Amino acid sequence: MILKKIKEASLIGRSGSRFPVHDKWESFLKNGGRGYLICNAAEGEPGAFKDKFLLKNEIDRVFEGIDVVNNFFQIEDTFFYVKKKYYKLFKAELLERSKKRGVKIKLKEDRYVAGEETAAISSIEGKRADPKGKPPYPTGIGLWGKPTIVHNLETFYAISEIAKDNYNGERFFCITGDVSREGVFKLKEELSIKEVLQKTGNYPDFEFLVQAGGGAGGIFISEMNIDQPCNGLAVIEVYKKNDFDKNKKMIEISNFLMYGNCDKCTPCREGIYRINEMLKKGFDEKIFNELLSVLEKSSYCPLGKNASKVFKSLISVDEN
Amino acid sequence: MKIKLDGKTIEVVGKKTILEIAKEHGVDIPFLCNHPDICVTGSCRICVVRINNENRCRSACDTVAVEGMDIITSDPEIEKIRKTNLELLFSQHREECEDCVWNPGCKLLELAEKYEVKINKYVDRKDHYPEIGFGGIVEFDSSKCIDCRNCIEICKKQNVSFLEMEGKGHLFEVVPAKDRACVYCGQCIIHCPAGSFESVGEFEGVEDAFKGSGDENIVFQIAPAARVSISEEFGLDPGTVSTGKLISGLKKVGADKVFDVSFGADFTTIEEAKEFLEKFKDDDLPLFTSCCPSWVRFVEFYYPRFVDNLTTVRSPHIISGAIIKSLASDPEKTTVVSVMPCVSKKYEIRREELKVNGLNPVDYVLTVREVGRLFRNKDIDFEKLPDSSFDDPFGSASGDAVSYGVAGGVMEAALRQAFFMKTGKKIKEKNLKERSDFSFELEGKEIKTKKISGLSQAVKVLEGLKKYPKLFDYLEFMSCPGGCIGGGGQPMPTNEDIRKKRRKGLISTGTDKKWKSAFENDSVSEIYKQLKSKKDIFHTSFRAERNPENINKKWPIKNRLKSKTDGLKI
Repeated sequence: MILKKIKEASLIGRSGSRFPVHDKWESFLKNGGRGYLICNAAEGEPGAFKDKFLLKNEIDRVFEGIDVVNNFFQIEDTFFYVKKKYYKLFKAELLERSKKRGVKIKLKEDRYVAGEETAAISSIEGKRADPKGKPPYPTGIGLWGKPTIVHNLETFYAISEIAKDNYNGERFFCITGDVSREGVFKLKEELSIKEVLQKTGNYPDFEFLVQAGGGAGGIFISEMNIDQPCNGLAVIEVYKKNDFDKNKKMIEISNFLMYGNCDKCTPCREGIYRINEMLKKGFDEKIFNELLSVLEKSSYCPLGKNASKVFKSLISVDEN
Repeated sequence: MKIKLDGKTIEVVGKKTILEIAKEHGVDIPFLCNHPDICVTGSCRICVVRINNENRCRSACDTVAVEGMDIITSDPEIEKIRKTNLELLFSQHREECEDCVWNPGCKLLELAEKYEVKINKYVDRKDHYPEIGFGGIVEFDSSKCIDCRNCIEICKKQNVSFLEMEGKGHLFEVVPAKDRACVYCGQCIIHCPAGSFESVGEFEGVEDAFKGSGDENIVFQIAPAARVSISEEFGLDPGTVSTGKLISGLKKVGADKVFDVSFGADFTTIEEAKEFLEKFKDDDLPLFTSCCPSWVRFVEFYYPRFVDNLTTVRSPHIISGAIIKSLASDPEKTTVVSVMPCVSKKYEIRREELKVNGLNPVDYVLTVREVGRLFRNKDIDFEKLPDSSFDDPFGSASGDAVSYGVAGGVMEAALRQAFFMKTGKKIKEKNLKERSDFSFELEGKEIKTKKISGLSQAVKVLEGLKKYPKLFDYLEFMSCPGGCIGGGGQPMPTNEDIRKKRRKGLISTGTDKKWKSAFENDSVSEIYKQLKSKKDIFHTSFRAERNPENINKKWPIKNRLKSKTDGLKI
């Protein structure tokens, strides 16, 4: 039985939040095992392009994964939630496969936060793509109040591999930045950042630092500390240390988040705005730390919480 | 189930949020955006608490308690988060406290004081944001908006959806929708924690009625719901009846006469009952009440197919205003001011078709909030005011007339009247009072009625009537939740608890009346005799209006020069 196989494979969801797939499924079962399924192909993270890669090269595996879930659970409707740009690129392929299965396609709003699972649910419900609070989790109360499983597109690929006993614990890494071989690479997920760079022929011959986990949500790690696995999204961006301008990077990220957030909660809407402002106009460490603290501890959804982590890692990247 | 609240084990029954539980147990968790009328937006992040010793905090407003939860409502870090988030909220809120609908009683300032917030820590981000007028009745000062989106939620709940979000640069902001019409219910005003909304005239216009040449006869008339809620403007408990003090206060600020709008309501009742019986005879039902101007506007704009169902009988204060002027020795020199729990009445008095002999029946409408401000401007000590009575000859109204202020009151009154007119008997009270929909028999036919308060309910019923036109025969619609007691011109705050208390207080003022129903009121027939032309005074007309351009006229936008904040220091 597929659930048992998934549990044995310890499959972790590929969205970056590192949630075990079998936990999601068990929770869904506990809530009746009937409801909706969402394939999340929103891929809004800067530096991430593995969903695009999979749509181009492995689209059938993805849909096979969707079939596996549909065969196991009583799924009323499956939604394919996809970034507009990707939809345009792969329209024919997507339509052909989704029509056959009655999968409904929903285009994602062009906002970073719209890729978050509860925001995706709001969007499919026809509302603004704003995140909802958790708990309740979607597997209990999801789309239109019914239990819902939301998986990243790559997770469906992995599910299909597991169903066919092909899975060997590999995931897709995006390597980008100051590297010689930018691209998507399929490697064992437990590999350290260092090993990933080495195995892909991307280990720099200059002093560098990396951002691991995505261009907006990933943390900054110095060269000395890359002997750790890539947590979160498997995106590794390499920066030449000598060319790296911390302040510029921080402005770039805060700009991205300012445009990408939903503006709903005070710390994220106002806090990131004030961080952006002070980076341009004059830094005040005390206020900066106050703002990071409210982002981390009191923002509504993971976006603000994570932003604080990113900023903190960037500030202290030389020390760690 | 059992949970721990600040170390104390308590028993919780049912599904409740932490904020609700804390309130029940007298534990103070500060909050700004939460309002029980609307679904939680969770935006302000002031009500944060710590659960099960987690590293991050959660909002008490949208976290439902579960068995064994250990909740801490205050520790140094929580307090610091609240303070920082308050400072951030102030950084987008232009303080304009003097003229604010929350003054006195502003929660933002109260919290600023408690948390020793530097309200000018950051430069006001919205200093130059514009003030947007909705049809000259409701004004939205976007420089005060703290983006909690309560206004959007309540507007959506009212099925008006006139307010919406629009992306501007990196921000999403509240804007009026171009293809929708505001119905001026004013619910945005009483659901905004930051005082960004107000009705026209708040509060620069509260003394306008007294600014004439000095030889005018200034006549005030008081709506039922205002005589109870005015108490809250002076810190008295919701539901306290202050009719006598309100009359005295108005006299003190310069009113020559103070009348009861309820005497107009008795005429509305009688006329509406006649119309109901006519339509009953012609098999032309259903009939809709029309004394709520927001409801009328809602039908005219959003459901024009039902315009002919609206009773043409004018609303009570328009009838009483016209009677006052008709019987006045010099109508031109008579200024009529209505004290209303309502914003929409400010719009109603501008409707051209209501003029009688070229004169507006009512010249000014003051909200309950405005009367509170007027009294405070004049340093009136409300609690010490003596109790006065309404002036004659319009001092006597029926108990039913007073009930116009609560949901269901208008239709109940008209039905008692109609039943009596047709059968000579009194209608059975039990069903009439207790149910939102009830039916009775009239000449062998079943009459089905329904009472609706809050436009959220109205749409369901109208959609039902589209499919099944004979679903109901007579319906009362009030735009605001709970009827006029929950009106957009009522004191702040307004919520379900407070509405209930106002309702109770108001109903108590009707029970000691000499007459229960309009048909028992002798003075009504006296006035009928004195009036020459009745048609002009009692009936009006409506028009279907689909074009938002026409109905909204363009939004006048006042651009604010980037300049001063009041620089309020605490």
